[in-house]
Amino acid sequence: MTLDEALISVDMDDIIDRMTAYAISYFKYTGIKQLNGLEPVDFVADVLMKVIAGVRDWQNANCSFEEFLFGSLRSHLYNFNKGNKHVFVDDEPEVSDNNRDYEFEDQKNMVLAQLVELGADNCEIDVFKCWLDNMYKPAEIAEQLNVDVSTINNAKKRLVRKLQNLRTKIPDIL
Amino acid sequence: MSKRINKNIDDALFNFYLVADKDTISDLLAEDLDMALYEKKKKNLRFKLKAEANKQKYESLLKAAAQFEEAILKGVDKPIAILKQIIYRNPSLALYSKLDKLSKEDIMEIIKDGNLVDILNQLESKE
Repeated sequence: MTLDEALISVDMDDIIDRMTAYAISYFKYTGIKQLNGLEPVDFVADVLMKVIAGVRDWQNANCSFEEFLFGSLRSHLYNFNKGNKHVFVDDEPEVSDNNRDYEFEDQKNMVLAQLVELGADNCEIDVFKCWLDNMYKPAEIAEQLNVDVSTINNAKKRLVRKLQNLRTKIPDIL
Repeated sequence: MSKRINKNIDDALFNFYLVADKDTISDLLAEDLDMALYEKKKKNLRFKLKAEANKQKYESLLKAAAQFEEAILKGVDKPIAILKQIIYRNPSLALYSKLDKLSKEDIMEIIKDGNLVDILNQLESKE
């Protein structure tokens, strides 16, 4: 598929909306408030213009057009984040695997407790635990939890709103 | 700070927005944006995207047409074969069968509906 065909085949309005919502969510989660006078949609615009101009080359990428656009936006946001020094700390002290697992369980429990405090119900907590096990697809999560996909999707919507505030509540953990 | 938990949340958010439905997104955007202003920016962006896409297409068209024109002038076999094949596949292009009489505009008309990336790749690999 050519770029022209890809552009015609997608609902660009919907993609701009989803990418903008993702950028807003990213800035909220990472706590970045200073956008150098830009708005989240400006980051989306920058990425889309670069893709169309061929600066970011989808033709040679090995993924769908939408995945490529989202991946490019993610990379653009990471770079902005780095430039603003909000990056996740890299200089964690060396710890053994056992200690690391113990530490992770400890941190996970604190995050779960905070989610409960923010009003997360059992389904949201279960979905979040699946995410921590690297399971993100609604169908897979639904099968794992033995509920229907729409229940998972609704829980995810509620959870995403809570996550945006989570990091500011427990900055020492996240 | 847990990099592992942060990465899981980051991946989850990415996957959520990649497939989220329109109603959910509308609700989320309305919570954070002045929608009238946002719609105005979005309209402007769509216009710029269309203009850039047209510009890119025209530049590719010009580049390919120039390469075909040069190949016809110099009698280079392979690009001529590619052009003949495009004309042969589309009966409405039969009037362009005399290649030595073609102007750059004629060549652009012949190739404008083709896959220009493919055509340029073919031209570059044949050179």
